[in-house]
Amino acid sequence: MSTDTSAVPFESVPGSQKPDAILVVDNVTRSFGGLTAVNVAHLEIPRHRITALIGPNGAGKTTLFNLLTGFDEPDTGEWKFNGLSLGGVAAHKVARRGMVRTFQLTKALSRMTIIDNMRLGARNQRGESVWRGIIRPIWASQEQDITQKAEDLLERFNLAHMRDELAGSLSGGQRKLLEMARALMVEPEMVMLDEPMAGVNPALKQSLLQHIKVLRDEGRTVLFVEHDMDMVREISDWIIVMAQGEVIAEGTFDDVGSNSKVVDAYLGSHHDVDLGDHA
Amino acid sequence: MNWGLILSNSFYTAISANAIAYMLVATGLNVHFGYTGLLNFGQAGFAAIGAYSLSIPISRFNWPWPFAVLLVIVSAVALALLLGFTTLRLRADYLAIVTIAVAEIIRLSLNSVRFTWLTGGNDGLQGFTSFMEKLNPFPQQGIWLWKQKIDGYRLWLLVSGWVLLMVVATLVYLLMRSPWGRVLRSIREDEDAARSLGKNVFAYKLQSLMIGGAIGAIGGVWLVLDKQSSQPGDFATTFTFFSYTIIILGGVARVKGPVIGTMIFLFVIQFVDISLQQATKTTPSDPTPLLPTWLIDQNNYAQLRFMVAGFALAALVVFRPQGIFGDKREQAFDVH
Amino acid sequence: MKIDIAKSALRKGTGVLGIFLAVSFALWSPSAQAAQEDGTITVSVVERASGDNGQAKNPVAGVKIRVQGAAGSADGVTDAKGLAVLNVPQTGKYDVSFDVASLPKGVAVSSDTKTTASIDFSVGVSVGTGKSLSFFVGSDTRATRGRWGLLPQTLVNGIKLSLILAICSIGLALIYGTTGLTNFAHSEIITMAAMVTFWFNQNGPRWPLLLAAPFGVAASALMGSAFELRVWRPLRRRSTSLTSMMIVSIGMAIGTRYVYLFFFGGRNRRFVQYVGDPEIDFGPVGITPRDLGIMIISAIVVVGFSIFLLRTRFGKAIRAVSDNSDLASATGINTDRIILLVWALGGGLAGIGGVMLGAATGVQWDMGNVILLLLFAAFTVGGLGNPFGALAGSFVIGMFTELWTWVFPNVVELKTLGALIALVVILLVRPQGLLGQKERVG
Repeated sequence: MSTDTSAVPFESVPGSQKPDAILVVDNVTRSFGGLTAVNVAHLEIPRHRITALIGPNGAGKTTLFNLLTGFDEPDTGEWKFNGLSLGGVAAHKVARRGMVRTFQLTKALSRMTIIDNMRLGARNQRGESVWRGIIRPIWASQEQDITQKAEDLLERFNLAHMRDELAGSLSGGQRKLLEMARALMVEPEMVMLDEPMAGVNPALKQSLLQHIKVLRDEGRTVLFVEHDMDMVREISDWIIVMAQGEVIAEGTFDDVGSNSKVVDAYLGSHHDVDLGDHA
Repeated sequence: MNWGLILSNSFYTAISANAIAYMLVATGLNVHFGYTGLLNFGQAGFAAIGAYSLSIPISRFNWPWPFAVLLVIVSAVALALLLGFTTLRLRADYLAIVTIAVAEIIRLSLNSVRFTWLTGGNDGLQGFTSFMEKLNPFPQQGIWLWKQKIDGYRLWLLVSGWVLLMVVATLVYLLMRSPWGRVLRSIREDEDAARSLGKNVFAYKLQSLMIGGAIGAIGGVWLVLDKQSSQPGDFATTFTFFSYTIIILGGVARVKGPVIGTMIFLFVIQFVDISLQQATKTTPSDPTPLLPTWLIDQNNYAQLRFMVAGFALAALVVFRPQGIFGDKREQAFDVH
Repeated sequence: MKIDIAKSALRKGTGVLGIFLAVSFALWSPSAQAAQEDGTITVSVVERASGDNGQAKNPVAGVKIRVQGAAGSADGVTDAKGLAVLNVPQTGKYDVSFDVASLPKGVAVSSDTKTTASIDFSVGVSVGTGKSLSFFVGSDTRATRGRWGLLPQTLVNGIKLSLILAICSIGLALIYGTTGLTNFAHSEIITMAAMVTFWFNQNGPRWPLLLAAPFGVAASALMGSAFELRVWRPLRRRSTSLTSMMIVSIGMAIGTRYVYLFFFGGRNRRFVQYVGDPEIDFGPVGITPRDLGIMIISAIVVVGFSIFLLRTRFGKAIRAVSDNSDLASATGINTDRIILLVWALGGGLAGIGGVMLGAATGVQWDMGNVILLLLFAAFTVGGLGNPFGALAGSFVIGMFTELWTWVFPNVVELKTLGALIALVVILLVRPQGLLGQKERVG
């Protein structure tokens, strides 16, 4: 798998073209009561890379996530995932096509066990049909495979020892881990993480970072929203900056950090942010 | 005070065919609210649809009973589809209000003078139970349960009802421990999460609504078979709310919950009611009732059970949301 | 009093050509009071004189009346006032009929005359219940105006209902907006004011209605505040979920309602004043002074409260908490105090609504519960939690309810249906309600 991040060949301009882009967005707009939250003319997300989506608060990052994953409907525009249009496709179908998201406020299913949280993620379960669900022998063997896979993932994410606890008993960081592991049960091509580091204690941050890198090394594409610039610098191959709904800059961390538009956007929003030593 | 009679009557009430009706209606609601998290406040509407789908075809059009029973299920599913397509895409609090509204639309229509030719209006319908009487294998004189007489027909309803309830409860149990039930519970916890994992939340909610609604409709059937009369007054919103009391009492999202909940609820209500009835009673030989008339009398003692039921619902949610026997840690009813 | 019944029957369009039948609970006017004995049915037969806009009523004497029911029967003849008082056992249903042949010469009945009506003692069981009903004979010029002639009156009724709904539902919306709670016990706050007012008006010091009403309103405001301080604030401190709180409010509502029934009995009772006054004519519509008063006071309250919300410091603070309570408390607003204020104000408004409703339709243990669904419909249609949405929604629901009686004069008893169907349809077209906003995911 391509892991050579030093030789990123893309042009550092907003909406630049990438060969074999996994996700292509065109003219997507969304306004709330006269206020334009998202207005993206053109955007391409490179395949097999970790792309960070950054920008000051209210830049429209989460709204764009919601639009792309079918959780909200845009006023105009269309976007293609693997060449297939996703406009008007329901959220659950977007997930089935291989684009799975997590949420800013983690959605651990509190009153279900951790293993059940994991099992839920598996696709094409025979027992999820109401008729076949009644008869256990129909789905029992598949359930075993799913459980095995879930346990392997829990092992990898250091949650195996809590297998049968209720998800509600997890700490904030562990919930983020669970949510990421659960998303992997869907076997997505592209993982979209909305602020994976928010509320995570420093001890867990490093492990989370490693997990995200592993996603790329497994051949998945990662797009994530983040405010923690240290993390962005450490793991991103490519960075997209949004402000006031628009994509204002693209490039590597150094490119973006030296972009005056980006600095203005952050300063203009009075957002006290550390852009790193290179800024 | 005849304590023997009071206790045996209260106990009988807790297991009677009437109780089975409550258990079924609450089981259906448990599928909606307990497992799927749907705030359905119109369960009485499903029960009403079930009751009248049986009584109208038999009383008015002389249908053979198996067809009427089939219609009970068909119309419950139809109501679920109607409710589902109109409300399931709305926010949860809207769902509560629209389901109440639909249940009231049903009750008001059944009560309407305009449709008396069909529904019997306020008086309701009678004479649809002969098929059940013919199927009755028990002798008419029935049995005695301590000091409570149970006639042959009621005994038959009680026995067949418990068998039916066991079948329904087993099906619900099997469904809820299947991956299908897992998806329902995930929707209850967070439907956006379920959606993000590729689950068709709308379809599952619709299925839940249909299954719980059909079970509620069967409950409605048992209610009117027991009363031998179907009247719109039995399907007011308090019926739905008492079903909530029952499932919280017995434990939300447990298969046993509605059964245990109903037994406790009806026993307490009946015990309060007939104790007060006895305590306020006057006879020609004994004109002074046990309780002073300035406090309570024959005309208003019946209000007390509703006060108990109402305040008990509030108190339960506050103090015992996990139900009477539940474990606080695994309570399935959210008090965050 | 009879005029009133006839008018309301006319407005609702139950009859077209002259002969109207209305059954109503006993009203508390001096003329009726004499007849209010245990187990009595008071029947009156009146002729609506033609050519006088239906105002004058001539009592018809000497008409044979028969009351028949499972528990017994009675016969009587109307006296010079057109009244016949019949004593019957006070249980079950009775059919009441009059003998057309016994009408004096010159008093006509048309082919669609209803000569029977039924009375049901099982509704509102309590000692001392008397029932009354009236048969109307003769022709009425108002009715000959037809459907369109009845429309203005329907609209006026709609406005009256809308205003009462608005007063009650604004509080509901404010409470929802500031705390997120859908308060099912709002109906009992409404009833509280009517009951306390009734006590001051009739049982206690027998003050005139306008003097008694403020005590009723104060009681409702106190009840709202007490709910907040004793129930909701502690539950919020425990981070109880909104669903749980909603179910708690349902339990409180049911319990409280039956406490009312326990003490007040099942009867519908009237305030002493403003019953049976003749209508004031405004062209195509006639309005009793009572209804006019209800409408004017309600309108003043609604407008005044809107100005309070928009202009005053407290009003702005309430709206700020409603929009975003975290932000509001960050800017130094004491949210707990604002929420208490909202409960007191919402309760007080509900109380005013309750007194109005009591004056319009009588005081009854479940009067609040009867309109609760309309209130929910109103505040849902308007967009949950927005007080001005509730105002708009109240008008949609109120007008739909009364217009239903105009469009479907034969199914008046289903008039709530119109409002409920409107609710479902509006939510289908606009799921967030008229003035509501879509929620964001994530």
